Amino acid sequence: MRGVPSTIEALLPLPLAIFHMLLSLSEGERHGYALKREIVQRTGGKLNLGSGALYGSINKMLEQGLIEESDERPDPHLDDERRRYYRITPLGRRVAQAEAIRLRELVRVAETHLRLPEPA
Amino acid sequence: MKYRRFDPATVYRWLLKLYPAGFREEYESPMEQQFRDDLRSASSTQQRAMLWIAAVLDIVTQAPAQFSREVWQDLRYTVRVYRNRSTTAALAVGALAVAIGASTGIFGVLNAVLIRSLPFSNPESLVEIWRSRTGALRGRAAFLDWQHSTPYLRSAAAFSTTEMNLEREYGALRVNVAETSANLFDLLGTKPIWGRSFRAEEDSPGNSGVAIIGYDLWQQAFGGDPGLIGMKVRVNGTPIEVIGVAPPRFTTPSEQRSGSLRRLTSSVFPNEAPSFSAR
Repeated sequence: MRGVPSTIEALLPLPLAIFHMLLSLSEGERHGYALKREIVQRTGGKLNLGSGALYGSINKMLEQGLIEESDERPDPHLDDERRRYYRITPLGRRVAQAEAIRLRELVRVAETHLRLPEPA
Repeated sequence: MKYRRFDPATVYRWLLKLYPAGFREEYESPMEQQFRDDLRSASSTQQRAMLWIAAVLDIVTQAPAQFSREVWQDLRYTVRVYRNRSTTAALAVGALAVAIGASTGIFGVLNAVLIRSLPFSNPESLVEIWRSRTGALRGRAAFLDWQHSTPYLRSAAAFSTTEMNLEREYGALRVNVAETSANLFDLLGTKPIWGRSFRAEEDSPGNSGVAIIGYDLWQQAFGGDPGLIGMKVRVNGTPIEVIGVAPPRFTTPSEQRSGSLRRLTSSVFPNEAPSFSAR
């Protein structure tokens, strides 16, 4: 992709679960279970990550520097203090943006080739 | 008497042990917490059953992926570290190569000498007697005389090993040949896996053009063709009829030490009988 640094391009295309998690985290900090519920809601239940897939992806994103663990904890009365919260890093945001652009270009190609109807 | 209530998360926690220790240390607690949350939100038995199936499938697919991921990371880290320390790496690889070579060599000797038994029935009752070149025992008659006169041995067979040319359509093949007395197979308690053993009358002069071919030679030179039995092969220009195939690993007692692979055993009785296998 033109104009995309090689460090970011090496991470593309993003696995769908990771892209969804980055989308959720771009709105604010989340713990693992909140990420899972949000993805289920966004995809209408089509993408329901098991805990292994969820924390496997979180582990991978932490290693790649796309997200980081947050030290800020909510009030223990409002949430389980054992939960771990994550937030998106600047690199994670740029990677998510690059993936979105990649998908937009893909959709553009699909529209031309498949003659998709205009959205209602 | 109070019974502890069954906690499904305990089973799930046990299943989580399939993950690598590092991953478990980091994520066991939130994963268990997530499972508890899912279980709490499952309202029917069917939903709970589906949740269990999904959880098991998740572990079965994700645990190997995490393992391979960790192994790959460790490998990359090792390569990175040793690339910067090439002398240390060379020393480590050299030490490993020497250690593996030495261990393999020592095991090979121990296996041949102490662990693996001879492929004969009652190997503990076999003795091998070598005839010295200057000894008095020479020729068929001397051997037969000695065989019948010795009070210490139940039976004795003679064999002599040498190399000969096995002639084939597309060139000759140098093979190890043991010329034996006809009773060698009976004495060793071994039967050919194909064909028959030597007959007593085949020990007599002029009646000895038969051979039992070694298993490996049968496979390598004749493609394991069972039609070879009854056919004649030329060994050092002499036609010899193949009457049987020796079992795999079978060689003469002497060759058990050297582990020779090719063998053509013929009952062409030698003029000299340098070795006796006796029981």
